[in-house]
Amino acid sequence: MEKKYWKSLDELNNQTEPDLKTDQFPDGKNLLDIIDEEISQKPSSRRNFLKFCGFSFATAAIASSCENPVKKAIPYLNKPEEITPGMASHYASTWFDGSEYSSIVVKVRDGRPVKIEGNNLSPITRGGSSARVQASVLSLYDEHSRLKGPSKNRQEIAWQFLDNEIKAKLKEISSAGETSVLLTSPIISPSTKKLIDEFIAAYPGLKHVVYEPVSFSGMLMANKATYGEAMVPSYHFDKAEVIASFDCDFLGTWLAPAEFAQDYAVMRSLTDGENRLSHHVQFETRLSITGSKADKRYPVKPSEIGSLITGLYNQIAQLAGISGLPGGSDHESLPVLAGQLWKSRGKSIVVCGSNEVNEQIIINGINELLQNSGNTIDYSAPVLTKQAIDSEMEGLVSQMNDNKVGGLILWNVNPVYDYYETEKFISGLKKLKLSVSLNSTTDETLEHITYSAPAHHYLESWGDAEPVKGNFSLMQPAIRPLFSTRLPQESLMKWMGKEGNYYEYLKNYWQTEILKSGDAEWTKALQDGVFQTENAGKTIIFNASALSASATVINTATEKSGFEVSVYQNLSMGNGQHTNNPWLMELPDPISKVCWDNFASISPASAREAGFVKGNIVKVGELELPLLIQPGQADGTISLALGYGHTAFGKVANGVGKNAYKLTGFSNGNRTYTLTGIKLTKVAGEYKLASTQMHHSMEGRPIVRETNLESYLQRPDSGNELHAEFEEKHVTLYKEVEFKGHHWALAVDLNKCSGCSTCVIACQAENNIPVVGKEEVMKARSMHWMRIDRYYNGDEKNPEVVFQPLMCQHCDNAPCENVCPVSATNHSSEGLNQMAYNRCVGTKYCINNCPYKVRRFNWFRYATNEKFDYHLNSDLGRLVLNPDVTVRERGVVEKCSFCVQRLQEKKLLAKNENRPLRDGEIQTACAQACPSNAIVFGDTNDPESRISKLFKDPRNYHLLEELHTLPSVGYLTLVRNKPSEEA
Amino acid sequence: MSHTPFVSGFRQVNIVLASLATIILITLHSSGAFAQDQGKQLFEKNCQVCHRLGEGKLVGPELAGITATREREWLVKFIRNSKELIDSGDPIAVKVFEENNKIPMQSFTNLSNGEINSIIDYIANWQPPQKKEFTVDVNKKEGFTEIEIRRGERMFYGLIPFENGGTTACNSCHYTKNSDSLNWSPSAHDLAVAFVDNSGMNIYESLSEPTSEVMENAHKEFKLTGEEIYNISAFLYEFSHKETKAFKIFPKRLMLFILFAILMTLALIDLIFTKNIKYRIIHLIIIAVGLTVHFNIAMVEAQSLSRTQDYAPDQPIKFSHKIHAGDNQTDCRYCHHIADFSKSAGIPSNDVCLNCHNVVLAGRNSGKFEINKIKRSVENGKPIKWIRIHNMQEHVFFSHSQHVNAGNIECETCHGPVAEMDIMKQFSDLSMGWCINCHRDTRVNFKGNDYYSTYMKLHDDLKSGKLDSITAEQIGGLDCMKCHY
Repeated sequence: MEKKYWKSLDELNNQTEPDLKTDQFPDGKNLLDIIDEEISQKPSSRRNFLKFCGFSFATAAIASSCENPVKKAIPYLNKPEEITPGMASHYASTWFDGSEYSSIVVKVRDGRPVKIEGNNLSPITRGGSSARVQASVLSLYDEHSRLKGPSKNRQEIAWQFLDNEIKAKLKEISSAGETSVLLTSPIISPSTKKLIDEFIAAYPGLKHVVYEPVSFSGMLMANKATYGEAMVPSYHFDKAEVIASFDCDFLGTWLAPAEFAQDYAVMRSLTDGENRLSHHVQFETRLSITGSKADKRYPVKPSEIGSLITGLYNQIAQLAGISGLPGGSDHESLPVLAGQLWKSRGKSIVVCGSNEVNEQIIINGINELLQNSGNTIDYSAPVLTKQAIDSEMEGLVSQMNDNKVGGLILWNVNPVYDYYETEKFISGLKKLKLSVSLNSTTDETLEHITYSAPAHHYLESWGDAEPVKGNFSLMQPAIRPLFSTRLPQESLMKWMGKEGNYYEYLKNYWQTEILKSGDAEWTKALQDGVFQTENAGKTIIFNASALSASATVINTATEKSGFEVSVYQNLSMGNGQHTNNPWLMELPDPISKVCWDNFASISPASAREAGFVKGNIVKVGELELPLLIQPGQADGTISLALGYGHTAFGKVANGVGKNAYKLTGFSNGNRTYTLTGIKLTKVAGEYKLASTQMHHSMEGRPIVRETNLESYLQRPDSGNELHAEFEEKHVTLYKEVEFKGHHWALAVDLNKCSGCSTCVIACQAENNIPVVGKEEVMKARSMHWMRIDRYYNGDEKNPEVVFQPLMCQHCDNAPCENVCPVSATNHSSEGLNQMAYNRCVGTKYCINNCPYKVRRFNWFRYATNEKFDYHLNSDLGRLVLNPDVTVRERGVVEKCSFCVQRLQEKKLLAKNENRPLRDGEIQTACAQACPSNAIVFGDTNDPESRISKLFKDPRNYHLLEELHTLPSVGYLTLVRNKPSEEA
Repeated sequence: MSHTPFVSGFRQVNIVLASLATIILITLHSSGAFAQDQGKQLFEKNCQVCHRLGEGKLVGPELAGITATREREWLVKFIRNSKELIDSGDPIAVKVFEENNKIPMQSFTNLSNGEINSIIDYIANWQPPQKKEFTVDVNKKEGFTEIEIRRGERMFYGLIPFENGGTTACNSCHYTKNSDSLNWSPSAHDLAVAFVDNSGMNIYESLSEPTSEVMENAHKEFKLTGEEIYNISAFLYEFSHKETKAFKIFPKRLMLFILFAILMTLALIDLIFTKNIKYRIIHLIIIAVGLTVHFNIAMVEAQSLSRTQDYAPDQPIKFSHKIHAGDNQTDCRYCHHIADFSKSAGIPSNDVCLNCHNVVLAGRNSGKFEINKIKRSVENGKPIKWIRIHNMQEHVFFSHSQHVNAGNIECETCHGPVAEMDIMKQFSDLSMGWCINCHRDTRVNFKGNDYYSTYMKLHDDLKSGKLDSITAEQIGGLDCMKCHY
């Protein structure tokens, strides 16, 4: 039986979406009404017509006497060897924002970074990146929130002056025997760590505290208790046949999602003759993208996680023949799951996203029983990106309040925004003799700080990183500093009276400590961006003694009545560091499809029970939040995203959403991100969220095709029987177009796509796609060329979720082409559905006639319009534009071009080198950015190409192929690893 | 008087002898001067590329005073074949070689000993040019009085004659009204800018000691006194603040348009209200002709809207493609070398100009003035702001590399006879029709470039004789997204 897919609850319940009044002005007037009014006010007559005629003649005459503007061509005085006007250079560098690491390649055109790509040479990220990495290039040109130079009490001062005052104060504090504290986000730069040690030596009594708003403190403490060392191991999802995840969004936000998505996709791949899938079971409160990919998903309350973990331990212990732990849930799923895990012991992973130390201890116990440690979980190559121990920050704040701290230097942290007791932190700040911020952008904390010594943007900086032990990478500047900023390392060097600059320090450190060789190796490392050393793995011994005590603690937790609240990081905002980035702000959440807000998501059943409907505002704690009824949310719970509700962070971030950090707390030695016993109250009023949910709906046609592993192994085309049928019926009255050279095509493996939305931002960066703002998104005027459609299937309590990335399908028989009155959109000899912007007169017939709804209309001149106050309206913000792509004018239609600028570039390169194009040489921005390699681009006229093979795969189908549009985009059916009867 | 002829004959012999002696003496005497001249010529021809007298080290070391420190014999040997001398282990030669970045000096085995000696003589006798002494403040570049400025102005315009002659007014060559590229002499504004520039022209030196042959010829009759130069510099100082405008051509077509608009209006008024002219046919003829003219103008203007064929603006430097690409046969891609691999052909940076103009200091037509602008721009750190002639619309992505490198199309195909242009102009109209027509006709190097090996079907057609060649159109040269994206 055909599955019924639905995109929203209204659709499921056969209700029509309440009229969005999409094309209405705020005062309720329709655009057409306004025009009508204007016309009716003026007598329209033959005379008016003649007047307009006369006017146009006059215009022609005036235009004819106008002169063309004089343009200048200004060459270099002395052309640098590595820069050629009109050609891009690429520099390997490193991205680390304090929580997420990525080895990157920066594309620089005419001296300005315009695009970030993953670095294929890195054994850690292997060319993968995330939406935040892709968007980071825009923050370089953030004119408003970036700090322009040093200041004291927000008054500009000179660096020299600032250095002298800070040095004097640090000396004074140090000689008085008081403590100063350097409060930073995790430092993974080995050279900086050494520098900080030297800094501490220069000022005795100075301490270094690491703080992270969303920390891994629980896991660090648990590993200390069970393995004797506070560290985070490497996880290898590519070796895991069975995955059990407890509220852990490892494909979206947990630890190193881009790497995990890649590893996970390895075990979800059915191409090239592979025929096995991992089995993934997810227990979670909200519906995350990880949960969406799971073969079995159970919505659970946050408070149930602990006992579920204990229950699973006990089940496995039973199989292993050892004694269990006290307590533990007897959830129906656990015996089966324990059996599967036990069967795949050594080849499974159990992970938990909680920051509760006891839960992590038992997770360690489970993985130890399953012999995963040393196989899928590698303690010999610890991940170094998580270092914060929450109790240290807690201690610092109370010391500050007890007048025990003299000076505080903050670096890449914003505790006034993201600490749970903001007031306490602020009162502590007021008692300091010296407070310095090294942050590069304005933030909430800066208002309470005396000195600001702003850092460069990372694209202007030198640096290095060791994200995983033994794996090093370098950060190099891709542009000269735009403002009068300074590397924080250099600030520290100045303040400790150390001569030289940080670049020399870094180079010297690498040559003596890491490379242990000369200039050639340094240049090579800089060029590659990465360097690996042999890592002698330490053997680690598991100590089970903490297990029973932990189980007891979990067991004694009392359940409270009322709602449970969990706060989480979403894909775009993360911990709130990048909220001022308009690209990320407008990136729709892949599940809720909401952008420009955070919200309280509640399960449909709980909403009905409490009498809440869509558009209601509820009060959670002190926060008033719009309500979103989210299928798949655990009953009796509320989830809300972190990173919103900034007050002094920049014009994009300020006032958008509510600050969910206010709901976090501290217990048992660690930050907590859940609350229990919350009473929800409805607040008067209505709030509309900007959601792309019902836009571009495909109205229930067989869009997504899926099957299960068992059926697939029997018949590879299972679930995709329609494809063969339509192929058979492929007849046409018209002469078929023959593609004599290339025929470009793109395939998306629905099994690999995790919905991470990296491709959406990559496309936006590559193709100069404007940000339109909340109001326009609500009017369905979002401009993304690429979107990720999300379909639910099954009951609203726990639906299955499918992601489908959708871009222009480049139909060989395109419905849009036939209706264009000016032939602005037509077909190229290489199978592209071309769009000539300067021919387009904006009738929008093509938009109407496109069955995939991938065409976008420029309602405004976004690039210069002051109302769209994001980044395109300033000279600096416009520097991010890709010079190889036209900035579209108002009134024209645009859409995905298969990154034709990249096609042209690589074709030319091949011609100049007198060779055929190589398969995989050309990658569209989305294909290159996809961390799980779900998108493949290529030439179907080349029978040996990867795309040709994928198109011949029995899983391949085209969207709405019954319409005979002959799309050049193929999708590979989704295959879930679950028993048949549930399919 | 029989002996008279003898006497007279003797006298004649004497005279002949005397005159012979005189001639020989004169010849002998002048032969010294000739040797000096020969040395100068040989020096300029062979040595000046790497050595300058009195200007310090260039490629090779400073040579003034070299005869005092090195023996003549050694110098001859070194000039003849320095490598031999170095290889033989001569300590001085090796030292010189190492002091000069180990750049070997060209050998001059083609020169005779006498010629080499004459060069050495020239170097030995060379004296630095003596600077003329002026009574006025030669470094003054601003703060002139009104009277000085006005006097300078009158001198410049030829209203006050110069003391030592020179009747032609300055402004007959140094045009004051507009910038002017038809004239090789710098315009008055150019002079003024060069004068006020800190590292700019020294007007006293250049007017008293002409720096180039071109200037020497032009200024032959002018022997200005210090005061005169001072006054002229005062005028130039003032003139540097004035703006000059490019020539404007009288807008004939616009006038025609307006004229007919007025005529038609009058005709209409007369036709409907005043009714002065009896025959209505006259009104109708006026209106009909007027409308035809208007439509014609509108059509033509609309078609050429934002097209700039034959655009040839004045450039900041009077650079002549005719001299560089035509007379001197410089390859286009020596200066525009990035055309091979980049979209843009690239305006050469100053360092590319200086590759040659480090040595070529004076131009054939413009003397040193225009070439000095390149150096001044480097010294001031201000790049030369060329006026862009070929302005493609922003939605057109034209790649030079595609056409020049992959397509192997000559530059002249689109840019016209550049080698004959003193003033660069836009040769083609750069309209889309022009592009498309070329794409229709141009044959691609289909068999020669391996890139096209993927076009199997077209190769089959070629083999079977269905097609005899492949044009750009057949491989998608007319696709919108080849140029617009």
